[in-house]
Amino acid sequence: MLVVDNVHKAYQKEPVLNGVSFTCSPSQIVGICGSNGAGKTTLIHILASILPADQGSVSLCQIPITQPVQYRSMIGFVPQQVALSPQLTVRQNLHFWAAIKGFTGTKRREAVDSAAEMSHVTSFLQKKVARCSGGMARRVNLAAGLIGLPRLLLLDEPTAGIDEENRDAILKTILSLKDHNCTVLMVNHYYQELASVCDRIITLKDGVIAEAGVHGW
Amino acid sequence: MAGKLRTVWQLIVFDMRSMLNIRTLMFVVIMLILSAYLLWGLPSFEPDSSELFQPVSFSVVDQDKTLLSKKIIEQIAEMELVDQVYVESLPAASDRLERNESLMILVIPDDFYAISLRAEERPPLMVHLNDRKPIESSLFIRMLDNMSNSIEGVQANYFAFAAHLRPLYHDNDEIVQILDRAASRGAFLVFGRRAVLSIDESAKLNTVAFVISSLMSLFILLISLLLITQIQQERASGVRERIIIANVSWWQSVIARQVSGLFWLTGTLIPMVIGLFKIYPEMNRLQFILTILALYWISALLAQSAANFARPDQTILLGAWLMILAMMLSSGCIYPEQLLPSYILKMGQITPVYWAFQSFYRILQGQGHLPFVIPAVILFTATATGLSAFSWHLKRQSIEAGGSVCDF
Repeated sequence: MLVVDNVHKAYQKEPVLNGVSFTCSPSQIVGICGSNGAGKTTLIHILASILPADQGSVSLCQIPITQPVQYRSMIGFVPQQVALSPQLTVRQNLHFWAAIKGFTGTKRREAVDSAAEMSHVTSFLQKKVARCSGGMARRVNLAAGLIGLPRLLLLDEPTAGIDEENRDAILKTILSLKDHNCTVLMVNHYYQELASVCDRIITLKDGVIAEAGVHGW
Repeated sequence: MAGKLRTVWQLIVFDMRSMLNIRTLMFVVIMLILSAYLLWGLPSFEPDSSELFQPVSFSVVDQDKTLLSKKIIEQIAEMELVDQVYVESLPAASDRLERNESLMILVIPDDFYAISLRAEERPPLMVHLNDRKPIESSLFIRMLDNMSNSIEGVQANYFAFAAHLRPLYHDNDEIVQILDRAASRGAFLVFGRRAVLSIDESAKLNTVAFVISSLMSLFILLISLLLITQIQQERASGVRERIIIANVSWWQSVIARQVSGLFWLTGTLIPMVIGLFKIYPEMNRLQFILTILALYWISALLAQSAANFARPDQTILLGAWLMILAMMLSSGCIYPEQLLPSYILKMGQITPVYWAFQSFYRILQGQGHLPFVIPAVILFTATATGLSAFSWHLKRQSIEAGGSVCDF
């Protein structure tokens, strides 16, 4: 379970998050939306342990974020940009991220194959990322975040600027994570898109949770 | 620890493979071909290997047979590139030249010395060339021309000396004796002029070594600039965020980047270094390579720090360029240190470029590196490492209009 309690963050004394608190249970898909500057990306970076919070606490499966080595071993992160090497093939990129996460030998191959399959990128594993379309590269980006099937997957606008077919593939992958006991936290500008996959949507406004709803559709 | 080192290795491989494309491969292949050419094609300057210039032999027809002509023959024989000097008759010398056994025949005419002492037109030194050795001949003709100019200089001084001396003596024979002695002594001293004047040339600028040292420093600094671009790309693409989440420590990332930069350093400098090793066989190769590595390591660490301090979207290459120019200027790489004000030189000493440049310059002249260079390298490396660690951990955040951007 992810527990976020009273998180504050300010940039040069300008508050961005003012006491954000929520919890996410395993297999839950939670969307975070809000207008530009609402603090969505800041929140997801804090949850990814990239940015330190000024105040408050975060824990995952009772491991506090202040123990970064254990905490980070349980999370996957998909940044807004395509965080891959364009000169390498999809497979080489995935193998690199698996190796960096500490997978070796057969386990690495299995982790890569599993992530590739879940993200529907198996058909173009030998393709260089530079030759992939924007949508394909986004799916590979997602696959890299899924290596080792983390307990918590943090997605920063994973479908920004891609066509409908690739967006559907990505959303399908995200939905399938429910079956793998993986909590998903997804930032997006578009409420309707979040509503199509999320169990809950948290709306941030001026650094506080303006609305936290459970969707029944 | 093995796991951490494995991660470093993975990062190095990732960086290297990310850099490899058709253009970089072409660059590597060209550099390898150039290195191979320099290694096997460039003649060695080492005394025990094949030499660029084979020693040559001379024939001298000495019709004058005076102390002056003997001194000229002696001077030619002492030259490093001269194998034998045959003093013989003109027919014998011509036969030798025909057999291609000598480079040229130098004919010193009769009364050459005596006429030189009088204000009369001197008969010329005759030279018969071997047309099968045009390059060597042209070199030695230039040398003889210089020698002839020296004789004319002596002659001019002699006449000036005689004109000033004449009012002091009434006896003509006495003047002639004094002038004769002075001329003989002057001529000998001029031909053996190293004995006349001992010149301390240690402070003289060695232009070739200066240019090579400057270029070497510049190339190393330019390679460090590449790291700035790579790090900015890494940060802008989100790879850095993923690396942090994968529990990669700052030192693992920094070392991996430094080592992958070595690939570029090697690729760029290896032809130049091979060429220098051939041209300067007397220099200390280990010290030279260690100086290259030290400057690269320190400047690359500083470049990594600069890239981490700046925001990913900031154009810092121009600033880095200006910084390099400032460091090179204050280190004496652009203007020699003799021409720089002392306060600029003192400023230069706080940059690694000064120490590397001065070490290159000294090593090329066979003098070894600067004193105190090892403590300086340790100090610079420690400072640069501290800076890179600080810059890695520094979380810089900014909010841009229309959305939040986090960079660190």
